[in-house]
Amino acid sequence: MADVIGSELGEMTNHQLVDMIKKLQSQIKFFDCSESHCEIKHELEVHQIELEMQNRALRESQIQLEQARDSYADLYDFAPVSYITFDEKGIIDNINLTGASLLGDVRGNIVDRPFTIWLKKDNLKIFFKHLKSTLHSDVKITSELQITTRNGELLDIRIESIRSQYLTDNAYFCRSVILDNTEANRIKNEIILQSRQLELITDALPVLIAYIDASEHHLFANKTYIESFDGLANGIIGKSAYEVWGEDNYENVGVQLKLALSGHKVKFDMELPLGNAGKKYFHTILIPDCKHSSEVNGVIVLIGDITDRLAIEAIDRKRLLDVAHFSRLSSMGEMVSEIAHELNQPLAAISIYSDACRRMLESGKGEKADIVKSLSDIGFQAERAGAVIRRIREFVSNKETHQTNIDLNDLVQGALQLLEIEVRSHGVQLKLSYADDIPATLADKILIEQVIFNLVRNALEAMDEIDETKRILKVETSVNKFKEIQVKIDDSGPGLALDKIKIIFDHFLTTKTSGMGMGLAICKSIIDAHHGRIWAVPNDIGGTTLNFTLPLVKG
Amino acid sequence: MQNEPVVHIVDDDDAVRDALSLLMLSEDIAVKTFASADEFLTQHAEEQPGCLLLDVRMPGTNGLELLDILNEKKVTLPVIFITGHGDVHMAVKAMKAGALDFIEKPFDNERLVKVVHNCISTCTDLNDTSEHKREIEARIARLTKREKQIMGMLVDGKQNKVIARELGISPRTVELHRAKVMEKLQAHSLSEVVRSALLVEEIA
Repeated sequence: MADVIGSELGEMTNHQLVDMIKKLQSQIKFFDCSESHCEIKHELEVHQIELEMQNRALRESQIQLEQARDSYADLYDFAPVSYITFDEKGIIDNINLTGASLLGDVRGNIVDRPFTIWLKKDNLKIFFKHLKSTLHSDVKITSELQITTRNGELLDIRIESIRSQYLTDNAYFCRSVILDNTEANRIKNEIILQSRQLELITDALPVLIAYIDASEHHLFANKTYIESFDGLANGIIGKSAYEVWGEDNYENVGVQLKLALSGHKVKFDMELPLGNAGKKYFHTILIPDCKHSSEVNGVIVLIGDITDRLAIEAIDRKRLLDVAHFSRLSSMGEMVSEIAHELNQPLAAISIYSDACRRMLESGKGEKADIVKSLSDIGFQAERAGAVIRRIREFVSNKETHQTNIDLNDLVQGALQLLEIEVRSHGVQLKLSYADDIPATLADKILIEQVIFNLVRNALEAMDEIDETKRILKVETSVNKFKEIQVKIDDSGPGLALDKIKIIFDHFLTTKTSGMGMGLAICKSIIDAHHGRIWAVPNDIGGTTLNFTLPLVKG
Repeated sequence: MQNEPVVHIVDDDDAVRDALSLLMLSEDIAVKTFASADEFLTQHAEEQPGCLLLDVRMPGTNGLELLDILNEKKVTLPVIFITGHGDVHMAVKAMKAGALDFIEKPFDNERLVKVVHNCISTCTDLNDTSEHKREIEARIARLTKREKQIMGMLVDGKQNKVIARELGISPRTVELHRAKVMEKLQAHSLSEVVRSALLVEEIA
């Protein structure tokens, strides 16, 4: 039976073995120990089974152990970090596959060789210091090194090491993790470079640039900004707008800043007293930063010093006034025959009236009432001549003016009054249309009147060639759909070719045979200076329409 | 009343028209006033004797155009033109078109009254006598070659500065020549120079 059992036991399950033991034990009781050798044999059989069971458990745990060892090896070899162990002299004891691949060689070529082979020469000292520190302490030691791989690639690495002890001889050794920092360092360097470049650019700009967060504190400021306000970088970053700008400025600009922080782009001009530089004028743009959500993270502040620009503009304006004055003088020169006629009329009437009165008085035939009426008519005609002279003097005088609130209709009427003589002498039919809801806007009265004058005069001259009965001049004021105020001047002249119309406002272009052709160019300069538009188009009465607009600016 | 001579005044300027009519009334001359050429054309009775005082510059139909219309209609009413200063060119054109005379504004009232009187009393031009023509011819004969040349240019309606440019002399010299021409012709105004020239031209 024992043989049978011995040969079959290995193939039985644990459960069957337990059953077998129970069966054998019950048989022992059954034999009642009468036969001792039989009993012993039985005992042995039981023992054999038990041994077999133990043997089996041992084998299983061995398998488990082998499995665990394999997974550890896998973990060790395929972990995304490099593991490496050094002895106290820096000879590599072991290295995982990741580590070997970092060094660019197979494990066999690496183990038992000194790590210094891969180290960049000037890093040797650091490495040995690192090794020494690790072996003499219980804490993790971290260093940064540079190594050259077998392929010749230079890598930035971070090495983190901790001390361990060999079980065999209790000697210390070093367990290390190596991380490749090359890419991270490259990105870091690039970011540093970029931010440095950005800093260089923003610092070089003549514009004051800052970033103010939602709590109105400065997170960034360029050199120009810092110099303008404080002069010290640490004096601005982290400080509030109130602190940096000062109480007075904050009172004016704070409202705008709050508007920008609520998500609106804001533009405005302001005057700031700046230290020794005296009063300066600035154009400011506040751009809300709300890239990722509707919530405003902060405000980008751009401030441009426009003091010089304003000064240049003032000079330009003075020049424009001079040119306009010159233009008025020269147009007066061209109008001299009309003016003479206009003066001749009342002078002739005065001369005749006074002569008639003299005759009536001499002959004694005149009625007193007639003479009295004639004398008052003489006074009236003298007044009429005086008005002509006054108007001309006013027109050619070089008055120093400034921007004021203008009533466009008033200016059109004023210019037309000056041109009354010409309109009449050209036999032109005048059609006027004034919009009664034109808001006042800020502009230079004299200059705008000059523009209207030049445009109307141009329109009158454009009709010289056509029959007198067909000369129609339409002047219209309006507020257009772009909310600009607009003046439209139509003539019924022969019209201009399209290519001529486009360049009609260019300098020195003239379709006239006389004059300098500067009138329209002056108009363009004036309207440009007022940020308006000026253009010409053909119209449906055969002639040309001259238009100009002025933006609505509150004064 | 129909045959009493009347001075017809056509001028667009209310004051001038009013003053002229007062001047005529002070001389006991009957007047009719019109504010435009068209008004005259529609209201004028052709058989009415007298003369026409006509402004050259007027909106609508101007003086010269009215003269053309009257010539076409064969209206024989003598026409005296009123011109502004420097409108010599127009005045010459008017004289050539058959106007009797022209008077520059502001007026030499004395001459105006004289011309009108002559016109309506005789309905003939006093100057239009052969004796007068001979007298003028004699005066013109006393002019130098240069003076004659300048007179011709003045009659063409050219301004002093234009003449100076064309002849290559200074405007001041033209001025002197011009004064000499007037003196020799015994003319008191440019219109008299023009009249003299036209008279001689007719003979020639």
